[in-house]
Amino acid sequence: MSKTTMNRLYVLLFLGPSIVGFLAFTLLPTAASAVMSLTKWEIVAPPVFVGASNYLTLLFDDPVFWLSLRLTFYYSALSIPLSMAGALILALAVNQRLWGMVFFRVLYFIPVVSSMVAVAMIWRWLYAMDYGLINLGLMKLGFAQVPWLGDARYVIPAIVLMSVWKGLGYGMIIYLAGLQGIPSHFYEAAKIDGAGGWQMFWRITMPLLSPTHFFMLVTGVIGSFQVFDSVYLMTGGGPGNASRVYNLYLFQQAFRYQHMGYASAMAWILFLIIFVITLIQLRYFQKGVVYELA
Amino acid sequence: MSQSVRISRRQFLNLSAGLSAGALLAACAAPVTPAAQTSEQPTTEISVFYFAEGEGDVQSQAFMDAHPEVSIKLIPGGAEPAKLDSMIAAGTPPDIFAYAEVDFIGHLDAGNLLNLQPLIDVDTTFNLADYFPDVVATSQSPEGDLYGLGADFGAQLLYYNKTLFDGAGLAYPDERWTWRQMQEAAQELTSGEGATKQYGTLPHNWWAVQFPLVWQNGGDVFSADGTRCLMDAPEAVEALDYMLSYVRQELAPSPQQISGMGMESGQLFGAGRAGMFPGGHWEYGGFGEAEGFEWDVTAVPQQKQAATFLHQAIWGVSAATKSPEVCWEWIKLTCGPEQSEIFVTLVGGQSTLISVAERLATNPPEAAVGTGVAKVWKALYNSARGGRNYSRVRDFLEIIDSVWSPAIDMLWSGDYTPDQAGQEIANDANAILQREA
Repeated sequence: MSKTTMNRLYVLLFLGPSIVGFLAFTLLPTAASAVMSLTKWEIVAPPVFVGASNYLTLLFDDPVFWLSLRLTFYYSALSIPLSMAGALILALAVNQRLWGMVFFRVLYFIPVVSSMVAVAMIWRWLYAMDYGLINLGLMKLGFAQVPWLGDARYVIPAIVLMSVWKGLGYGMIIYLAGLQGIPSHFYEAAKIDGAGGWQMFWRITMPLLSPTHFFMLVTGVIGSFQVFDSVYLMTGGGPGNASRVYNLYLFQQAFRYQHMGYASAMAWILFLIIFVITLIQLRYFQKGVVYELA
Repeated sequence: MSQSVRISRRQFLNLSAGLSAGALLAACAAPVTPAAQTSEQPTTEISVFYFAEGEGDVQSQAFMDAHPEVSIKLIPGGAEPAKLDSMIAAGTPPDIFAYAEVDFIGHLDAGNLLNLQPLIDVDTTFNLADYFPDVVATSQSPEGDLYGLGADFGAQLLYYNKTLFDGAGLAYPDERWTWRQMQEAAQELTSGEGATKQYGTLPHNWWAVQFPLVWQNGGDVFSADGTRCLMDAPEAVEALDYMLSYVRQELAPSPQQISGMGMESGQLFGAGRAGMFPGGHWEYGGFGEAEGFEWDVTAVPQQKQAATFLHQAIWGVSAATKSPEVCWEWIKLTCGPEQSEIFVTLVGGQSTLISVAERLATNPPEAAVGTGVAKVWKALYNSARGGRNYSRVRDFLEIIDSVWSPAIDMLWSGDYTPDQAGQEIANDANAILQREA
């Protein structure tokens, strides 16, 4: 056996498990879900082909579908700018060459690696109406208690705040990498030309961070449209339907009501929505991305 | 003395690949089965899917003791249906399986359940009339054929704080109590303000404790055939208004207030903060043991009629089983007098057999006298007649999540009137039922 053939065999042998895993647990289920979305399948009974019926019901006959979609857009619209701005501020703060800064970087990153279950439980206590720390603080300042998780007006912002806090460390690391990739001679030249800190931030830092902004925006949209665990753990979709975001409704359709075909159709609609939004971002926003200053 | 051997990168890769392949093959190999330990070989094997310890495993052992020709493969499943559903979807259903009442119609529609009626009809040792008729109805098809049987049942009950009732000089509630009596008692028991306020009762804060209010008032949440929601009827709206009246008159905290206190209803009741608590038969486990707190339990009050929600785990036989007679014998034994009593002693709930339930309610075993289990046995016995549920309503859980709970939340928060809540529940639930049809 030639060396080339042997090498190919090695490649196959070592990549094999990953390829098999990808085919069996990603590609095949994805393809199966496309077929399932055209069926009525309630698990305990054999699937029945119904054509586009699931899609038509979702689009024209299911008010909860539209509500969940609206809530998910609302969640994304709040969480993405907050996450990006918060992470950038944090990255700028920990990008200083000061003693002990590594400690703070680790500290801010801890929520990212913490269990969502633990974080959600702690935030539920923080948000508690009568004994929650947030309301106690508000009362000390003379404000009324707020039913953070019990009122339709506050529940999504409250979940967004928790999610942003939990994910801030991840964005911070990405922005930190972006900041540290900006050559220092740009700042040195700007200083010689008499530029102030604010000018340097807007004219050098922000443009050269545009690839990072773009990455954060694209991944932020994809991530926020798939919000599930925080809502599931903190409110279960309530009060009423006020926090019943798309993926929670999809999960309930699949695993609580056993409407596998219907849930598969929901998954494909979500895929299409994210796909189109990402295409729009790539088409229009990428033009403004500066990879190198002239 | 050890001697190190240098291996080339290629040799290392060869070795790694060989070990990986070996491990993979070993993992895929069939498990080694232990050698038969007894000389007597069973001739029939059946599989039993059960929820939790004490709910089928003990009974299976008793069955094998009585039938050495049968071996039983036990499949522990937990109350979530995912494992059972996966087995059915894969075409390998267990011969006998436990399922909750809400899953009955799905299994019936799908043809997963064996009709037990032909077996019952020729079995002279079994009499269905020995069981509570309202409990048995849960697993009967619209034609009246039986598709499963439970060894135990549970219900929504009314807990009360004896210490507070004594303090207020009130007679304890019983199964003949009416809505008016409960309201009067709640008024007498309510006192104080703020964080130490003592409430007359706790709210009806779950659909299973809310449905019976509609039934008690002569209405119905769904039509008998399960195809229509009737919550816009006056009886149903009145029931919602009655439920809300406790919160409106500040005789009970709203569910949001309870949530704000960081407690479950049971904990609040156990802390002596409420005179009464409408809740499920299992709730007393969460009361805690506060000093001076003495509780008892009875059937929920009635209005035009007595009614409560029945909870059930049902034993069904797979339509695909090769041993229907053996499976029927297993169900008969598990739901029979001896095993049914063991079942409810281990797991809680009350026996579905009238004679056993009556004995446990009136003359419980010495070890149980004075315990929470014995109190619940009595209350459940008094609740069994007139109890019902909606095992034949399709998409029941979706209606609860998408329609019922959101509308009731709006009712509690004051955003909906009872009339608006009733109308919205009826409209939206009927849209889902129509879609299913």
